[in-house]
Amino acid sequence: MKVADIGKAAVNIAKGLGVTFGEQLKKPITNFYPDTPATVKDGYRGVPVLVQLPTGEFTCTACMACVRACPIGIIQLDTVMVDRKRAMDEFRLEVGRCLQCNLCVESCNFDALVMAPEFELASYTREPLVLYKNDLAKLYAKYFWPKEGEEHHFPARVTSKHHAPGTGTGKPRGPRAAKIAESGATITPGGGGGEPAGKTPVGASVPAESAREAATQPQDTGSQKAGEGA
Amino acid sequence: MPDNLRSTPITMPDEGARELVVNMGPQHPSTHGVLRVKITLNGETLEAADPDIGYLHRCFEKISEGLTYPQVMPYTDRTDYVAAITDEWAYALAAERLLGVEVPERAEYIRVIMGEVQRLLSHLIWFGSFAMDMGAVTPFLYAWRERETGYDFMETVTGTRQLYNFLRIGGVRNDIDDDGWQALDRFLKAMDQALIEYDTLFTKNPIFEVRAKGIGPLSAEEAIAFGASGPVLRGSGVARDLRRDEPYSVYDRLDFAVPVGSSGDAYDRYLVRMLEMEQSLRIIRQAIKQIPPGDIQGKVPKAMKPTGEAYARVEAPKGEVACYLVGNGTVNPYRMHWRSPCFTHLQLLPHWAPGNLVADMVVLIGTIDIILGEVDR
Amino acid sequence: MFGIPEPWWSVVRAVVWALFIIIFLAVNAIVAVWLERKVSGKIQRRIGPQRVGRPIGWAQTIADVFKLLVKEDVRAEATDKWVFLLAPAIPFAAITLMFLVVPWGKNLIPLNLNIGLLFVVAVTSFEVLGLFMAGWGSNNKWALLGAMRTAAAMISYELPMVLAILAVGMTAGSLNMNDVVNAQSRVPFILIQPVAFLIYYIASLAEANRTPFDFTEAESELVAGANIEYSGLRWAFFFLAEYGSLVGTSAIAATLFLGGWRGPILPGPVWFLIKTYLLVYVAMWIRWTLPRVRIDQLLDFGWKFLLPLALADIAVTGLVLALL
Repeated sequence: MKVADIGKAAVNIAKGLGVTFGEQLKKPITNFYPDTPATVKDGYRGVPVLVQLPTGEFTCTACMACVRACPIGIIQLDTVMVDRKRAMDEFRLEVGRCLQCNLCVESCNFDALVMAPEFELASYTREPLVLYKNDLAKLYAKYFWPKEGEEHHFPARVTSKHHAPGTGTGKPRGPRAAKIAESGATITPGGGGGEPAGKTPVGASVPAESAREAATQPQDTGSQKAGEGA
Repeated sequence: MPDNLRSTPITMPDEGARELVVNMGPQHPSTHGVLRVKITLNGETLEAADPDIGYLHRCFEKISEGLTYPQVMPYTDRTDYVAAITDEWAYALAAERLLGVEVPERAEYIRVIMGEVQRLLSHLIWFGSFAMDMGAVTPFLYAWRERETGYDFMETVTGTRQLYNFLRIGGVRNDIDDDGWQALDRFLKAMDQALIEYDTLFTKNPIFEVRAKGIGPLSAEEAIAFGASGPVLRGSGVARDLRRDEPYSVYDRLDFAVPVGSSGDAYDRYLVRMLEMEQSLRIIRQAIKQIPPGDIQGKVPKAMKPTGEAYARVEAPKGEVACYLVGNGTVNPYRMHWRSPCFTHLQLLPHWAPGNLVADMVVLIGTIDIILGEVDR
Repeated sequence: MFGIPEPWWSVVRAVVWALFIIIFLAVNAIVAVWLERKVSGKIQRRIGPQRVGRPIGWAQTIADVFKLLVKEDVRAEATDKWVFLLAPAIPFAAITLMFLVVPWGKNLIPLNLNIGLLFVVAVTSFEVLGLFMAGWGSNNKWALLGAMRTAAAMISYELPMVLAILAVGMTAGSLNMNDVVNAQSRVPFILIQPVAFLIYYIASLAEANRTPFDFTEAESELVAGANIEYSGLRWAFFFLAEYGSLVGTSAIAATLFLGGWRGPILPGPVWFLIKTYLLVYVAMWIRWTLPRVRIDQLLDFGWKFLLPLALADIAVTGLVLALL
């Protein structure tokens, strides 16, 4: 071994040691989860959830596009005839097997499905990993319900800023959803905003928390009303 | 055998220590994935190595015969899960050729940017595991630190950190917005610094040089004969890169160098991959400058019922990934075959093994940059 | 002293020192393991143990020791019983003996031997015996193979270590540890004998089986090392011996090259601990930076590089001393 080689080798090892020493002086990059919360970016694909209006009805029209689009077939939709039109009765999503591939959300023509950034889904049993429409609506409320003083708007199928400029609208798509939106179903705590015909606006004089709770209970007459209105 | 490989062999007494067949894997801290290698040992020296795969087989090709064309895309992610975009790209190219779909320019540039970011991320994992197999645990952690910044970018753009389902037949899913460009900028800056750091910490380390030089030599003729591709082929001196030789997408408008090794040993392949990372940064920066405004999704027929066959290959970080699609006029592909470079490279293990020491086995597996999702599909 | 008649005072003193060394080694194992995990965390930009003993995780090793205590003591039938059972005790005994001649302060040395350095050399060399007994007594081909490799490596690095210590002895003019420390009153030997320090330090890393020389403990190797058949507290003894060896050789290095307990303002033992743990920290820093050397390269390095270098160092030292 030549002396020059040894010298170079020693210098390189010393430089390597210098790198690790320098790294020790920097702050750690880890997050002390779960004591500190983990954050995800806007638009994170967690669980596909059903969009639920403040009135309690879902914009889903039971067209089965998502059922057909899912590559592993985890969505099941039970329909019921309402006023000679098909409507959604029960929606079942096996989130435990969900790939989070977003194909269901993209296939929906009525913006009835949106990806909620929920990622803490671990459970001890299998049951909590099958979500029904009420569970999905709760998740939707958790992430997309407006804060105090804000307007409720329909999330685009991807958050609208992800679209190429001009394509995301933040408005609901499809005739039925548009009609509901037209009727002015917005939620502003403390009253105001239009209400669909014949229904008291949920959350008018009720604090936001329980408004959220109240809104997630599907009103039994809701689908009836929608059927009448349509 | 080269001089630096074995100078003071340790010999065991004859009795009981002759040829012994030992299992390495499928659960093993150093085989990257569920790979089982049956090693025949003579004392310290390897006599033969026989890889056994199939532990991660998920019937991908068969399942895709029951899916519609857009539904296959999430499955392609899961072959090479550390560099998912390039695998999606192979499938998208094949489907686009089959359906006759044109991809708009902006979408092509976005694909290039995402693909090169994936190349960086894949090489980062390879670098970390390679270093860790040799005993230096720290570079592994540093590689993950860079990958976190990369994940931030991917999450901002696609909505998820791995397994993106981002490419679509005819374009990409969504555009990159301002947040995305900023995240990309942060990632590129982090990578610039990181490459210098890895160079100082690991590449120039004399212990690493001694451990990697001369291990797993592959001449150019052997490499071609074995069907090697990607860094394994380029490390042996064959200057072949699909992005330059059979340009797909917009690679013909981008200027980059193709690093080529000379002696074809593990050290050369290591250097090839490190230099490829630098070139990827260069490509991404050019693409950011050149990207035009426009659509991100081309026109796709409403009912995808193509007939015919198409074969498309891309330069994935691990080598040449290819997809062969046959359509028979129904909504499902009649046959989908996936060509995996790591599967081809695995045959190099029995070729290299005889004569090396046990400690070199992990170096050999690492220098192929193996990922079992791709091998087993 | 203290009004106790002579023969009893010596006994009391011996017992106190013995207990002190053993307790120090036990505490050191706990502290050194915690320090290793924290240092590795810092280098890797993460935090290391945090929850057991918040917020710095000081109780982590204690919890680990408890876990090891309650593990089942497994011993295969076909093992060589007494060899197997006694093997863990040997390295531990060797380390404890090593501390007998280490001066902690001005007159704080357990055993003031005139051949202190020679004693250190003699004692460190029988650590290897313990490991070899473990490999042999396990009646396991892989353990035996691992033990032979470890023994080969450790013996190969004994020689350069001994020669480096000899160089210090020559410079100090005596083999007595107290004399060595006193000879560093003006300048520590690391400045006079930098090569000997490097040789000694590298050799001590090999003796303690630490990266870059930790092929026996490498998970990427098939052969798991001499102590694969041990579980629970018996295995913990080997672990303790490894960290004890690390702190022992660091203590010797601190005494021989950094001036031992000498230093301004602070009391002797504090300086001694600071210097020892500084060298322990450097060993950890090296461990988490460098990759592992292969066994044949390791032996190459020891025999073909360190040994000639150590001999050259001795020759130069002798020449310089003869001329002065």
